[in-house]
Amino acid sequence: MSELALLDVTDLSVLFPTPRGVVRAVDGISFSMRPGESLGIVGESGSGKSMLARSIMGITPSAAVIGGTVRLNGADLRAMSPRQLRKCWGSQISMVFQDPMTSLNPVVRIGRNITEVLRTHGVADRRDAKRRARELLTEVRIPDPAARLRAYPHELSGGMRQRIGIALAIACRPQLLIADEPTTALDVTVQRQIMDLLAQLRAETGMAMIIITHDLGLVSGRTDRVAVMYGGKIVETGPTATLFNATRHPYTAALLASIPRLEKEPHVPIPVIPGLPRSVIDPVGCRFASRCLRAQPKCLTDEPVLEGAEPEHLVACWYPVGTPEGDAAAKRNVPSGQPATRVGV
Amino acid sequence: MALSNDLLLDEPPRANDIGTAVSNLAAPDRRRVKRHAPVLVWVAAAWLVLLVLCAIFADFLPIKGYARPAGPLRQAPGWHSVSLLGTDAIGRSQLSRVIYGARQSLTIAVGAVSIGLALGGLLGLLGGYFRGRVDALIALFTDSVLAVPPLLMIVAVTAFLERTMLTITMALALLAVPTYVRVARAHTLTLARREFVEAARALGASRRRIIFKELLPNVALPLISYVFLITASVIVAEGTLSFLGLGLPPPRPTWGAMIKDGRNYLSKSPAIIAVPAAALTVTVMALNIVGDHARLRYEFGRAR
Amino acid sequence: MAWSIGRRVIHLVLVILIVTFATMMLVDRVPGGLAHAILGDTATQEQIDTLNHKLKLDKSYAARYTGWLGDVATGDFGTSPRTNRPVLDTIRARLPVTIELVVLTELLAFMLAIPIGMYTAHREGKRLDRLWSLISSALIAVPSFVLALVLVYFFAVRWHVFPVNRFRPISKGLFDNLRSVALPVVTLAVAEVAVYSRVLRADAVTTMRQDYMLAARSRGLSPARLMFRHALRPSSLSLVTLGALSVGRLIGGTVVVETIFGLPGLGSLMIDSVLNSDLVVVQGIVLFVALVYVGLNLILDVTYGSLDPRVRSATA
Repeated sequence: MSELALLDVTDLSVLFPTPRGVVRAVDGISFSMRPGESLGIVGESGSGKSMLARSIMGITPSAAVIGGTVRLNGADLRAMSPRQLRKCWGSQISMVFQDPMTSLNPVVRIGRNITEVLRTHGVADRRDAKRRARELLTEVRIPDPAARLRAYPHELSGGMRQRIGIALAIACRPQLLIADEPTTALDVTVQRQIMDLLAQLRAETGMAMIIITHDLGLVSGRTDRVAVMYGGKIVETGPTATLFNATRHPYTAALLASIPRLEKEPHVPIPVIPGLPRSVIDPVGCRFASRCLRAQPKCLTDEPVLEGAEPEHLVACWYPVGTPEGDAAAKRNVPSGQPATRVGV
Repeated sequence: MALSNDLLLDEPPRANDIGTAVSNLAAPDRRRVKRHAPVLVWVAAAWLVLLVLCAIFADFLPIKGYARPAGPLRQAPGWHSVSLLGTDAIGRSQLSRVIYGARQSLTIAVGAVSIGLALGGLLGLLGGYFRGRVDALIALFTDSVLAVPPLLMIVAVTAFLERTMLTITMALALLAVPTYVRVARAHTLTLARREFVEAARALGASRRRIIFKELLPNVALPLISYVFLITASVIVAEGTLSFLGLGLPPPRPTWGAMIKDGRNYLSKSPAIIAVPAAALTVTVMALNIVGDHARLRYEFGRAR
Repeated sequence: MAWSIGRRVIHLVLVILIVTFATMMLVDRVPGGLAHAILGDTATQEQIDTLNHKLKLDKSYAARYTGWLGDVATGDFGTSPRTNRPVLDTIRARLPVTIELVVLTELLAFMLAIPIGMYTAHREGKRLDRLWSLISSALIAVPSFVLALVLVYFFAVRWHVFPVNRFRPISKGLFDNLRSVALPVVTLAVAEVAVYSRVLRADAVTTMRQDYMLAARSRGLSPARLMFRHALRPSSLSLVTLGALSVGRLIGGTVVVETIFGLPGLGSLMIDSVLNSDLVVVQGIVLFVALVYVGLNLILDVTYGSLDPRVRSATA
C-alpha cells in the first residue's frame, strides 16, 4: 500500500506440520492499516484469527512455521532479532488477551506488573513509574487506583482484570493495539463497557486497533473496516458500513443473519450455518464450499481470489451475494436447499 | 499425609498428599518415550544380563577364587595383571571379588525386592480397595516406616538384630515396601472404579475373588515395572551398609566392603576402590536406565 | 481448617507412637538380650542383671513403654551405659555439625538448582535440557559414598585443595570451617541439585505455558525477567515443599559423609554407637530424628498456604 501505512501485512501464513499433513492456520493473508485506523477481524473458532494476531505480534508457538512479511512502520517484524522485537513489544505494538482470569500473573501485584512494563520501556525513575501506573488505572476507568495497585489479580472482578490488561497494553503508548477477543470471557454488560473503553482510548491516544472477535455485532459501529476470516483466509473485507449493508460473501451474510436481534420475531430459530469448519489440511477449492448454500461445482475445484469492483471492498467468492451469477447459483440450489457440493449425496 | 520423599513415583497428585505430588515431578519426562528402546537401554540391559549370568555361574567361570591371594599385592588393573582388574590389598583377584560380590548384592536385592513387592503390593491393594479405616491403618504403617530416614532405619534395624543375610534382606525389604504400597494403592484406586470390577461384583463375585482375580493381575504389571528402580535403591543401600561396616560379615566379598577395605590405599592404589566402585555405579546406573524405561512403558499397562 | 490440622496431628502422634513402639520391640529382639550386647561377652550375670534393672528391661512391656514415653516427654531420652551421659546431651553436642551440613547443603542445592531448573525449562527440549537430563540421571544414580570418595581422591589426595578428617568448628575460624565441610556439602548437594532442578523444571514448564506468561512476554520483558520475576514464584511450590521435606531426610543422610570425612555429627554418632553396641544411644537417635522429621512435616502442612496468595485468601 502507500508509504503512510502503519501496518503492512503481506502474504502472512502460519503453518503447522503434523503427521497427517500441514495445517494451514493462516494461509496467505495480506492487508494494511493506516495510523489510527481500527480494523475488526471476524471469524469462527478455528478460522485462524487468534493465530493471525499472534503472528502479527510475533509470538507464535515454536512448532509454527511462519511465512510472509509484517511491516510495522516500514520495518519487517519478522526479520528482527529477538532483542529488537522485544523493544517493539509494548512500546510500538501490544496485545490484549482474551481471558482476563488467566492472563494476569496471580502472584504479582497489579502495581508491580504495570511499573515493570514502564521501566522496561524507558521510565527509569521508580516514583515516576508509580505515578504513571496510577494515571493508567484512571485512564482505564478503575476507581480507587492507589488501592488497586497493591492488589493481586484474584481480588478483582473479570471486568476490572480486563481493564488492567488493557492498561498494561497501552502503558507505553503503542501505535497499534491488538485486542484478541477482549470481551469473549466477560459478562454481556461488561462487554459493552470494555468496548466503549477501547473506543475512548483510541480517540484519546490516536492509536490504531485490531479487534479480533467471532461476534460480528461487536464491531458494528465501532470499527473503520472489517475483515472476515474463514479457514485461514480473508473472504471479505471492506469498510464496516459497506460490509453490513452491501454484504457480498455468503459466509458474511450468514454471520449477519445469525446475529440475534430484538427486531426479529421471537421464537424463530436463528439461521445456522450447517456443518463445522474443517481443519485445513491440503485444502482444494473454496474453503467454505461444503457449508455454502449457493456452492457450485466450480467452488470445489478453484479457489476464489480476494478481489473487488470497488477498491476498498474485496470479496473472495465465485458467486457473491447481490450479483446476477450469485443469485442464480443460490436459486439453482433452492429445490434441494443443500449446497451444490452435497447435491446427490 | 505422606512423609515420603521417595522420588520414584509418577501418579496424579492428590490435593492433600504433598510428598507424592512433589515426588512426581522428579520423574523422567513421559512425553519422550518412543516406540522402541533407545540404544542406551539395550546397553544397560546387556550389562545387567552379563552381571547376572556371571553371578550365577561364578563357580564355573575361569577366574581365581575370591578368598586366597592370587597375585602380587595391590596390583593395578591392566592387560598384564591378574584377571585384568588387578588385585586388592592382600593380593586377591579383584575380578573374582567383584563377581562374587555381585552374587551377594543381587541375592539380597532380589530377596528384598520380592518381599517388598509382595508385602507392599498386597497392602496397597487392600488399602486401595477397602479404603476407609483399612486404608488409614496401612497409611499409618507406611508413614511410620518413612518417619525415619531410610539409611538410619536400616542401620538401626541391623544394629539390633544379628547381621545375617536374612535380617539384612528384611531390613532392605522394609525400604522397598512404602513405594510399592503407594503404587499399588494408586493403581487399585483407579482400577476399582472401572467397569470390569463393577461387572464382577454384579455377578456376585466375592471380595476376595475381585481382589485376586480382577485387580491383582492388573496392578501387577505396574508394580513389576518398578522392580529395576527399587533394586537400584536396595543395592545402593546394601552397598552403603557394607561400606560402613554394618553389612554382611566377611569372608564373602561385597562391593561396599571392598570399597571400605581399599580406603587406606586411596592415594597409592586408587584402583582397589575404583574397581568395585565402578562396578557398583555402573550397575546402579544401568538399573536406573532400564528401570526408567520399564516404568515409562509398562506402568500404565501394555498399551505402550 | 482447624479440624484437618487436628487430624494430621493425631496421625503424626500415632506415627511417633508406632516408631517408638517398634524400636522397643527391636530392642527386645537383640540376640542374647540388650544388656548382654552392651556389656559384651565378658560380662557376668550380675552385671547383666544390674544393667537390665537400670534400663528397666525387667519390667513388663506396658510399664516399660509408658515409662519410656514419660521420660521422653520430659526430655529424658535415656542414659548411655557406656558413657554415662544422657543421650539427649550427646545428641545435642553433635547436632550443630549435622545442622551446619544440612543448611549448607540446602543452600548450595537451591543456589544451583534454581538457575538450572529455570533455564532448562526455558530451553525445554533443546540440547542443554536434554544434556542436563542425562547428567542429572547419572548424578542421582551415583551412590553418595562413591561420589564422596571420588571427590576426596581428586580434591584432597591429588590436589590438596580441601582437607579430610580435619573438622574445624566455626569457633576456630569461619574459613577453615567452611574448607573442612566443603567436600561433604558438595557430595550431599550434588544429588539434591539433580532432583531439585528436575522438580523445578517440571513446574516451570507448566507455568511457562500459562496465558499470563505469554501476556508478559508480549509486553517486551526480557527472558531473564520473565523467568525469575514472573515464572519462578508460581513454579516454586513443589521445590520449596521438597526442600523442606528433605531437611528431615538429610539429617539422617549425613551418616555417610560424616563417616567418610570424619565429621563429629549425628550420623557418625549413630555409626559409632552401633559399632560400640551402645544401643541406648541408637534408640535415642532414631527417636530424635523421627520427631524432627515428623515435626517438620507438620509445620510444612500448616504453612502450606502462605506460599501462594490465592491459597492464603481462600483459607482466611
